[in-house]
Amino acid sequence: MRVKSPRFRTLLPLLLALIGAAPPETAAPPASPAPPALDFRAMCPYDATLCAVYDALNAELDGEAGKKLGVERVTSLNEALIAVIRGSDAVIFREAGKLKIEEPENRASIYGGLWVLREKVNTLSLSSAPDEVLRLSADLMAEERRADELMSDLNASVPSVAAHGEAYARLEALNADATRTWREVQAFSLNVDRLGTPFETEGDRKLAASGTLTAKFSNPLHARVAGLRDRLARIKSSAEAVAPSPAERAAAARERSKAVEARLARSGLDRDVFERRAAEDLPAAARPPPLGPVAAPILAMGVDRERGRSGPEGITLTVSPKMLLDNRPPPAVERPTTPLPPRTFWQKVRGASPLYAGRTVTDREKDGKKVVIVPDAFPEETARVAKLRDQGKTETVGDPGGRAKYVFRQMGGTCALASQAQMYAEAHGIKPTRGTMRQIEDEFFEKSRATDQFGGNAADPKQRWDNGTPNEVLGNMLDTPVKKHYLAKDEELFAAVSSGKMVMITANTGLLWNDKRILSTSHAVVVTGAEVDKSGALLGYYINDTGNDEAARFVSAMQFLPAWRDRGSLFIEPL
Amino acid sequence: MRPALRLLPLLLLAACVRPDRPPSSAQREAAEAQERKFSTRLGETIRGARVTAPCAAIVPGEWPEGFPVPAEASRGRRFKIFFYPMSSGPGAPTIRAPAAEALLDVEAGKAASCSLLPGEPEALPGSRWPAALDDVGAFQHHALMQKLHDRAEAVAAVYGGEGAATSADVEAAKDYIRLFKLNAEPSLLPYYYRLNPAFWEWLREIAGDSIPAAR
Repeated sequence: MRVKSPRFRTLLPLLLALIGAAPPETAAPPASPAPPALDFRAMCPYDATLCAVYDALNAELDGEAGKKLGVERVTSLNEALIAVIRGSDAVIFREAGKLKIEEPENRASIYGGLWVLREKVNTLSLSSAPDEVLRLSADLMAEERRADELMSDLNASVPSVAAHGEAYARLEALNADATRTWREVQAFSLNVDRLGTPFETEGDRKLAASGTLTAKFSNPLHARVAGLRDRLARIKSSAEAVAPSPAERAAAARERSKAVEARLARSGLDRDVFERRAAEDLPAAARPPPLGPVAAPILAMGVDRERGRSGPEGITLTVSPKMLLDNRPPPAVERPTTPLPPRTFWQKVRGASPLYAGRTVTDREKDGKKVVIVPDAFPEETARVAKLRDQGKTETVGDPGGRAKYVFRQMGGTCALASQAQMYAEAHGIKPTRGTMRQIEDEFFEKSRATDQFGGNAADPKQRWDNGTPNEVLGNMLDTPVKKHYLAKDEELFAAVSSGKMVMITANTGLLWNDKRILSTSHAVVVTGAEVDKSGALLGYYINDTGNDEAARFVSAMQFLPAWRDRGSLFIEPL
Repeated sequence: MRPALRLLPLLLLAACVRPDRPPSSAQREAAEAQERKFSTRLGETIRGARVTAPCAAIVPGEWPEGFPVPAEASRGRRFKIFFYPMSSGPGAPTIRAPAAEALLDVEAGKAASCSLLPGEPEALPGSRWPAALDDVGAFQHHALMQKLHDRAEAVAAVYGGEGAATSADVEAAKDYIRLFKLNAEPSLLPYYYRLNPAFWEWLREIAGDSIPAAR
């Protein structure tokens, strides 16, 4: 036998002692029957020792299946698994060419085999403490349900100071409870499988940076906590999206103050007594819900949370004192909608005003640096078109003004769904309010999730920010026939828009928004019309963009065409 | 009023107006790249891969692609590329480790294979782009990317060729690694290396420079 990894050869006796297996035959790889679908045996020709240890560990795990093991035993199995994964990591990087790792079947064999082992270890970890798992699962389920309800209420509510305040009060309370559950899961994991959480420990970050396989460590509880955290973050984003403007806040405060003074006058009470009673009468939703089961039993399981625990190979496990979701109060942001209703924009641009070419955005980055993004990359060209237009030397094709009413802010990484929602609403004569448009997006999201046409997040199927729509299925939500154009010519798109249709396109977001931070990402928008000169030549397109809730934005051909071509010249045209 | 006082407002104004900074070499290069349009077969292949099978069926449109790396023993016509998720939201977007990989066949103008990588991609620290590009606009930056595709094709032909490298080959290799380092996402360098370690070591040998080796 040829052992290629000296490090692994050194570890071998320790591993075998840990899992209680006999040393492998060193003369030749063990003969094996035909490999099953997900088998590790693609590795055998390159490191027979590793393969033998894998087999021994696999057999050992099968032998322990269904048993309630002690913490020490689970830990030793886990450490053996870590070593096998690291050994595999080394072989894969060393022999990537020979292993043909880019071939899907080889990749599935190796990674799938390791995944099977990990699942077995996880099952044993969890079955060693069934009561705690049940209790934590119940807590997580209750918090997931609360998150769902909150998101649903938030989607249904009309943006107002009251709705916004109530949403935040509920989010704060939910965040506090979820944080407590998260800490319990961490403590539980440290005691049972000693892995900690993959998203908070420095050791895990280092491992993830040094190899791909090690990033897989987590148990189902971690996955659910991660999903819950993402869901809370989404709720926070949504709540910010309906945040009232400073003017609305001030108006609401004035109204509230007037009403309070009127009630005080009517009550005939002293101000102090009145205010105390008013505080007691706060609506239930604004008060934090009662706390769930106390954390003490789990947290007292013997983990030294201050020092953390040093695991094998220098893995340092610590329990972070941070909240699950950053719970600072939201900034008093202006509601991210256009300052005037979209149709008003269009009416304004009919006159002598310049074409509406997108709103300038000021972002403050994580390091405090201020970034100003002017979406129009070629303002001189826009000004030239605007001048021609004002002189009556251009024509508008399509209906950018009439279609401005369909735009709304998408509810996640759902630009493709939100664009189709606009086409759907127009085709079916649906009155486009924010409520109806979001409802269509909701329906499309459910439908695309159910039919596996939205990437999403496996740990949290309801959140819609991760991994959006693959290009191949764009247009599939529409119940009317469409033609999908890929690698189309400029003239084909122009012909479709000139015929008066609303079409969906994808574009390089960085070029379309003139923001290099997001270069090479794709974004779907609908094209609602075009501006042409008297000879019929294209000057620019009008788009509705659900990514920033902007309607009838004029994008010069100089900016639009490179952005569109760069993502494969794709457009979806209703027939 | 005394003459000196009369000049005071002008002096104050002059103190407030900073002279324009001279353009950095990255800015100059980006402007030149934007001036000269690069249309490469490799660029078309990447665009095609995004919208045709197999990648179009599994890779979400939102994921950006990395820069192509010549694949081993491909005679310059095959490249490896990865796709990585980005999280949006207020402030600078966060990038994640690659979540899908493809092998591009430039002759066929599409991806020969494409697969999702297992596991949840980790969030990576730091800015997406190198600091040298801070003052370069989106369109200029995009032009630099196109230029890198052009140079990648040139260096891949040398990498896949036979016989000793000529001085022109060495220059092509040096030009490529310089452009790659100017363009590539710093936190993704280990992942670029792993796409084809042999290529990066070959480049180190021939151009005297490469990206750091990753385990």
